[in-house]
Amino acid sequence: MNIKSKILMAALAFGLSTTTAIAKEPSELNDLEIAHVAYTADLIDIKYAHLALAISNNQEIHDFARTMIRDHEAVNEQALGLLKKLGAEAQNNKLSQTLNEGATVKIDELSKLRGAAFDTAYAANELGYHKAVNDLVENAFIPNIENAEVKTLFQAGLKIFKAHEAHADMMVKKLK
Amino acid sequence: MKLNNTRRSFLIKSTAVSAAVVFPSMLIAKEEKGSTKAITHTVEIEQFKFKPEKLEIKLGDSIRWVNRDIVPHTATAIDKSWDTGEILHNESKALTFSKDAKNPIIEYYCFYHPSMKAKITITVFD
Repeated sequence: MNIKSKILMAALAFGLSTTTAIAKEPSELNDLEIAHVAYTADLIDIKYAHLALAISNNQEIHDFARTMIRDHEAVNEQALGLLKKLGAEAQNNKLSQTLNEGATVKIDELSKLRGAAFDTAYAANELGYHKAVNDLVENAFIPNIENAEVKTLFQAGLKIFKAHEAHADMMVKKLK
Repeated sequence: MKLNNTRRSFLIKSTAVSAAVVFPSMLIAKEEKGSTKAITHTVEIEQFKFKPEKLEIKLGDSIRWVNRDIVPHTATAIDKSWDTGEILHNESKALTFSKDAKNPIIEYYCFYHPSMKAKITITVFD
């Protein structure tokens, strides 16, 4: 599967229209733009988690959501620390904006659901979201990151997000 | 001698510490049938794995879990009989296995990341 197809898959997972314009291929982004995309992706999942804590009454959903908040905040803290050390600042870009637009649509969808319908939809979205982001990070971002420290942080992040994907998969199966 | 599954119960003496500090008193938590001293084993948590995943200890020994990952983890018994609580990045927590166990094989996991699992086997001093 080529990079463009991956992006389209990711866009679908984030609830976007496939006609959404994306200015650059992910593989064309520089390190600071990639950092911004990753930071944005973390913040989006934190938003989903807060929504889950507000709507769901399921203890497992709550535990998962708290883990998402805890882990994504920890990764972002590390990322900000590294950028500070490097004297750099993450650069906003079209892909980050597209992710945010997709998240707004998804949050709107999820916030209309209640009970088991919400839990199932939240779990499915977490699985799809982590799959899509992990695919981007593993196949488009990591091979193209130039700074060694940034690359190491992304490799550590990928381990974390793959564990989240596995956890979301367990949750989806349990809720069926 | 292995512990008898049916008649023993166990208690974890929690001695949670941060910043990789282990109180010296833990190191001689208990001695049984001889002069062998209890020791502290270290389990590294790295890349979402407990290392080692299988550990054999003696009654009275302690285990210190050191978290090398960016995100917090826990070491929590599957049956919820003990729990280290949250272990932050580059910090550690230790527990002393100071009383007899119901089952000499204890499975545990990370409460935050359930796919992380490991096993402790407890024996007593001969």
